[in-house]
Amino acid sequence: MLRRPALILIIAALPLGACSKAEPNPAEEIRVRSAGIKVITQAYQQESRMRPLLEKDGTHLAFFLVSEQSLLVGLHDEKSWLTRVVDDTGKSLLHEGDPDRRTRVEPGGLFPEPVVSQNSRIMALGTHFSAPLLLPARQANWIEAEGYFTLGLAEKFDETRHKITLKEGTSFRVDDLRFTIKERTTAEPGQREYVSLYITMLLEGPVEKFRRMRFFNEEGGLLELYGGNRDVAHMNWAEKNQREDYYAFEKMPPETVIARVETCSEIKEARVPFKNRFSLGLKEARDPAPQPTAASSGSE
Amino acid sequence: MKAIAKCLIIPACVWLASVMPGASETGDFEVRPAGFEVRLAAPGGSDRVNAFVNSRGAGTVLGILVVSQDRLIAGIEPENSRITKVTDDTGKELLDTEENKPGKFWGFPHVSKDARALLLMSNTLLPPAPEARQIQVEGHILVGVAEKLTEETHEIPLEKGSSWSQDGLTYTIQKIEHERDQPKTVTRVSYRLEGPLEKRRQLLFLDQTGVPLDHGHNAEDVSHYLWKGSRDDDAEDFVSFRGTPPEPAIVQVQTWPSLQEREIPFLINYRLGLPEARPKTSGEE
Repeated sequence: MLRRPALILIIAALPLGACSKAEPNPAEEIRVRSAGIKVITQAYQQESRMRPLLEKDGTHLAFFLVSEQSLLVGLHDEKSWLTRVVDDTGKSLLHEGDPDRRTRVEPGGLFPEPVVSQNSRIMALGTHFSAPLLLPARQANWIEAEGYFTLGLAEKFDETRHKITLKEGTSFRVDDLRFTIKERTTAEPGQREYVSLYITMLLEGPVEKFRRMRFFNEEGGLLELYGGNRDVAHMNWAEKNQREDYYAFEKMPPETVIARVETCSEIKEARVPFKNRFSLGLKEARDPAPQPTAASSGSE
Repeated sequence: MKAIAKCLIIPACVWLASVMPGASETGDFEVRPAGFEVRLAAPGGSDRVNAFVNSRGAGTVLGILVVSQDRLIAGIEPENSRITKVTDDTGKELLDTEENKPGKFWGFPHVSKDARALLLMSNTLLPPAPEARQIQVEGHILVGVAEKLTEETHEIPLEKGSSWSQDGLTYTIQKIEHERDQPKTVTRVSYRLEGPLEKRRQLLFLDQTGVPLDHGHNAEDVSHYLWKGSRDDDAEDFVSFRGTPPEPAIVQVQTWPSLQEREIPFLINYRLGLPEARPKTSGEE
């Protein structure tokens, strides 16, 4: 009499077992660290150049996002918010005028600094410099900030190599991404101090999958770009189908070059909740995992 | 027991007063904390990723505001102004003694238009200990001060060789250049100064109604941020403005008739909650 209910229990448990094999949440391995704080009082007599530290008055917070496994492709800034910021006296630092008392967060290292580390394991984020939080109370010792970041994560980047001619109309594909040289501009003799050749590259397809493009001569020598090679393509990650990138060659490159293109095959969206504390003294963050090597293939 | 209690209470009150965030007053001057930045380096020592734009690695930057009710501040004398000690309440010393000139202020101080306030920034200091709740800063600021400012207008032909004098300073136009920048032409007037250069403050061209022409950043440039600093060595300067000046041109010149040196020692405390930076109103203690 007891054997039938036991069988039913085993059958009922099967789907549960299948559920437990679901993929782990990639957001769980991402750590959010307090990276910096600025507290700025009001400028003297509202004079713009009398702003302490040349900043808008209020509280500015910065975070480091550190990933052990996933590669940080970018931040979806329209889905990333500070939802609660209070000091230890109970004062809320979010602006009352915010319709739902939330504050957008933005990449903390806009031009000229990239926001993602070269190994794509660390990202700097923060309150926008033009939209700081309110000042903490005079008696405050610490601030607690709560919210969530929405990130684009990848497992790996693949490198493909393409022998191309640097002329208008040259086109090649990497999976469902198409690259086309839209414009080639040679610098005028008087303008040759820094740049010899400008290339406007049109990207079509899921452009968020593109990470970076570097150019080499056929002997394998890296061709230097003005302002450095753009190692990190995605400061703001959001799905777009078309984009133009610019490459400024310091020295005139050969007509035929090898373009090494790094892309990822799939991006996962992950919501990373956080609750972080900021005080005058901040705790150091841990080191991330070592840099991965990109798998290489191509049509060289 | 009462005597012992008093002995304990009085030093405790003195200590509390010293660690409360706030100003240090020296005669006519009040020195206040005006803001701070504390930042950590990215994990793994990545120098590409930083907490804030325009700042690298770990460190502390402090904003210091000097306000005067009675005197006008011409500017700072940078070589003899120093932060001499910075410690947090865990005892950690934040002054980086390995720097070339430890405790030197950041090179771009600002003086307010009304010359009543001077805003300074420290160079990057070490970050405080993780447990720190306060930072105490000690130092001295050497400033040029005046009791009054001379502001006069001069009608001059806008041409090479035009010259005028004020407070012992002689201005002579060296060169006039015009640049088309729609919708208005930009005029750049280069001039040479002779006399005690530290007395200069500002030079603006006016329209026929006495209103300054659009000088862009020049209007903001109350030139003596660095009193006895690098600018004083340069007897050649220029001013640029948009629009057409009247004939003869009207130039408004601010100079210091008499300057004195004043050293302002200070001892101020920073906490997370800072006092509002505002000028004292008359009668306010």
